[in-house]
Amino acid sequence: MRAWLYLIAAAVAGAIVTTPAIFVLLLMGGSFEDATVASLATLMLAAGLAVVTMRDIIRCGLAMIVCFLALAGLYVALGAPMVAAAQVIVYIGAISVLILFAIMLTQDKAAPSRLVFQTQAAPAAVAAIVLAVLVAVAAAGTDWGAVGELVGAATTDIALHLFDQYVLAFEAVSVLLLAAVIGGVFLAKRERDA
Amino acid sequence: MSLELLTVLIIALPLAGFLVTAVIGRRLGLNAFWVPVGAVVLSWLAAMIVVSAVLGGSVGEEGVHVLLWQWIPAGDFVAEVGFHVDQLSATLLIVVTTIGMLVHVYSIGYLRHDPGYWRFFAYLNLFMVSMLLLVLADSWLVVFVAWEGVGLCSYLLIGFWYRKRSAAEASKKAFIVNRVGDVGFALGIMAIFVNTAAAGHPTLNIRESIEIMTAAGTENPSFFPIPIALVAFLIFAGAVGKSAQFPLHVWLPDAMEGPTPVSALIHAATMVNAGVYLVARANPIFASAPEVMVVVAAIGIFTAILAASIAMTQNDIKRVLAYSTLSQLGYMFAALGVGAFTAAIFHLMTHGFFKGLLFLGSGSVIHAVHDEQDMRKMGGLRRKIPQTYWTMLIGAIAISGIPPLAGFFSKDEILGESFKLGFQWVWAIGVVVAVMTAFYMFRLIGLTFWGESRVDKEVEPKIHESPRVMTTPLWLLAIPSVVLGALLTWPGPPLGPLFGVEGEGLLHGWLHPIFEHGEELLGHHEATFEIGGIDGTLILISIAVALAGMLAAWRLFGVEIGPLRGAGRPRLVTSLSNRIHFLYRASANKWWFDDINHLLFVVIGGRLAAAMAWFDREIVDGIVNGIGAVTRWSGGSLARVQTGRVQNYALGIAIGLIAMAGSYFVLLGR
Amino acid sequence: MGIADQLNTYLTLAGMLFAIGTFGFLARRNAISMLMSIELMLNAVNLAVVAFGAFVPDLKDDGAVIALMVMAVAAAEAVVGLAIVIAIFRNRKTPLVDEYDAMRR
Repeated sequence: MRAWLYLIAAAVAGAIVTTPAIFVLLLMGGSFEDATVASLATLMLAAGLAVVTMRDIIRCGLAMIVCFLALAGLYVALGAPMVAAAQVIVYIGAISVLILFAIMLTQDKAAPSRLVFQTQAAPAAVAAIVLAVLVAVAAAGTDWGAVGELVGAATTDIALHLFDQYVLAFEAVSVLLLAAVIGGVFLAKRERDA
Repeated sequence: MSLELLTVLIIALPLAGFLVTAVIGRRLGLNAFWVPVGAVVLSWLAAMIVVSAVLGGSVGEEGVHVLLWQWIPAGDFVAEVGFHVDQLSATLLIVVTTIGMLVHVYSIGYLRHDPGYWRFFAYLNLFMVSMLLLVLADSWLVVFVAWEGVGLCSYLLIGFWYRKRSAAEASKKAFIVNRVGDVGFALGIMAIFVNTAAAGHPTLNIRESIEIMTAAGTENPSFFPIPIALVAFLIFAGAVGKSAQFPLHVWLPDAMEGPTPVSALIHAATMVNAGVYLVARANPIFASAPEVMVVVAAIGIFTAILAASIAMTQNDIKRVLAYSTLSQLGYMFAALGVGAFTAAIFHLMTHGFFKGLLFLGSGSVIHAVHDEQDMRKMGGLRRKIPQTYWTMLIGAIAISGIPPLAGFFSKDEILGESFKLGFQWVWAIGVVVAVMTAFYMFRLIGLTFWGESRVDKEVEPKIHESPRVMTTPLWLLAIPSVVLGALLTWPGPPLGPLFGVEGEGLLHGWLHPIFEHGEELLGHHEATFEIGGIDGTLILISIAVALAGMLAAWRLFGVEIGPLRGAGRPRLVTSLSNRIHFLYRASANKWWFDDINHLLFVVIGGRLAAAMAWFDREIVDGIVNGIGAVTRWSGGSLARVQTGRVQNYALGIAIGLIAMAGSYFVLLGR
Repeated sequence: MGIADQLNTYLTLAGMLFAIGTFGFLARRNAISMLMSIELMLNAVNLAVVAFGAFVPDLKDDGAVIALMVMAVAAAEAVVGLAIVIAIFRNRKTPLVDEYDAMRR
């Protein structure tokens, strides 16, 4: 029985990825690039929806990983492979694992049978939709002026920029990370009796 | 001993007496009377010295003036506390101090068995202070203070037996009804102030203010912001309250709940005369407003006949005398109203003496029959309490206006002047009142002293004459009741011309400077007295009606004077009463005035008050409480925003963000 | 110009992802779900920044650098946030935020 479910899930996932690609390629007459971006985008959004709507949080965590992956793909399409790599390493490799650990540590035994959403879920949904619309309208309505062709950023250029112009921010972020680590350890420690 | 010092002593002595008795009186027990009575006797002595100096002319026309202190110095306006003894104050002083002294002495014996002995004398002294202050005061403000003071003492003394419900209610009634008049008086004083201020010289000094308001050139009614007629009317309103004229007469009969010496002093001889004194003092103001004088005369004579009609059917001996007082006060106001000022003061003096005598005598009777006041349970007391009997008989003859006793002179002068000054209607009603007066007085004498004894069988053997401390004042009051009339009008009318002597009488001469201005404003001039003409006729009519009333009373209630004998005819009385049934009932019910007042003020007023209270409680308080309730409710509702949950707050932030971004769009146009 | 070459595409995508994240933050009961939604929102911002970096010539390298910074800060915040959730969980025995109402009136 389980196997069938997995097959169905795989089919759904495949559909999610391929349908928009075909749609864009054939019906809208776009290039392969457009198709890739379309399918990645759809995958990202679907995974995001899965994160916020699924009952079982572990599945939410896994959907989040898928979302991050799609996002990494989008970064590549935007010509920033460095960022894509960082995305995979940091977000998927570190943060998602951390979240999964935390889920494990805060598991409520009697969990799944209760409500998933708060009572304010409906107003929240409305607010979210309105927000999305606002951003879309704002973006579409603005004349971006200096926008030109898509230009990628080479890694060496990024590195030079990072240690030249942004070195203060770089150092500050490292201190921040140190503080966060120490703080995290301290906060999560068990109380000692002595 | 200067006259100024003596004047101050007149008031200071009873004041000291009051303070001493109030503080240590209780401990002195039955000896508590020494200090207050002594104070009043000394005060009387001082008063007599001052009076003889003032009336004898050795002080000049201005009289004795004492300035005590400046009460309110306020720039232009200065209110001073001081005394001024002129001829009018002097005549009043005679009455107040003499009768006051005799009542104090009488009370030594009358209240001997009362546990509140010391309290009574303290109150009496306080009353003397207030009354003397009223008479001697220099400034309207001080008069008002004393006015209220006598009202207060009246309240204290009427309600002396405060545990008795009827006494407590009577004292409240007296005070409240008085208060109604006092409002008028207070407004009158304010009007005087406004007027004198408008004339450039604000003052509440009595003589100065009267002079300013009646100065030559101010006859035009619109000269002053407040017309003189209104000022006069307001002052009269105060007099109506204090002297119990219609319609504020209802308190005086109930005031008989107080001990008899109180009735004698306050409600016959002194306090109720304060109103007459007030109008007489302000006579130029009244003379400038002839319309108001007609009102005064009308109210006065109406009260006279109203009260006399009620007196004829009362069974309580003190009530008869109370209504008689009302009636005689009516006479005085009628005299003031027609412009016969001296006649009014004359009657004030004679009335003070014989009414005081009658009241004290009735007290003696009540004392003898062991606190029985209903005349139907008296009778035949002539032989048992002879001194009381003879003095009361003298008083009754005096009040009925039978010559040559005092009442005849003063009453006839009032009636004569009314007729000659053009107020024939006042004269006519006054004559009717004279008949009724004689009638009810001899009814009283007949029921109390003559005929068969109807006294309670157990009390009868215990009837005894009063002690000397009570009968001596009776005789001392009887003397002026007999001779004062003749004395004060000698050698003027009506007897002067008979003896071929011209000129005014003694009292006229004394009071001439006081009333000069008023009489001038009214346009009166000296008329010669014609014994053969109008005056003689009027005298004869007065005597005739007095005798008629007396004889009628003798026929119905009996007589036992010397050789004159006649039995009372109670069945005739009853049949006559039945024939005029309505009038009889009206009279016996005091013409239902108390019931009207009760209906108007207690019942209807009570309902109005209840309605107002409902309005205040439900609507006004409702609004105020409602505001509180609304605030609380809204607070409670708003507090529900504080859920304590972060996500709710976050939703709020999201909504705020959307709102701001959205409005940014709208304002800038997409 | 296909859709992949337009800035608006990526911005709209970022907006939609942000909206999804907002919904998740406001509507989920589990504290960890809320934190995951916050990560989604941060990622949406990152996407927008990188998009700007790609299309605006002056910002060619800045976009990537800013995105890296944002990632680092997001990581730090995730650490601390999760530590707090774990600490509260120890106290309250539940990860559900609507049961953390000690500040309620």
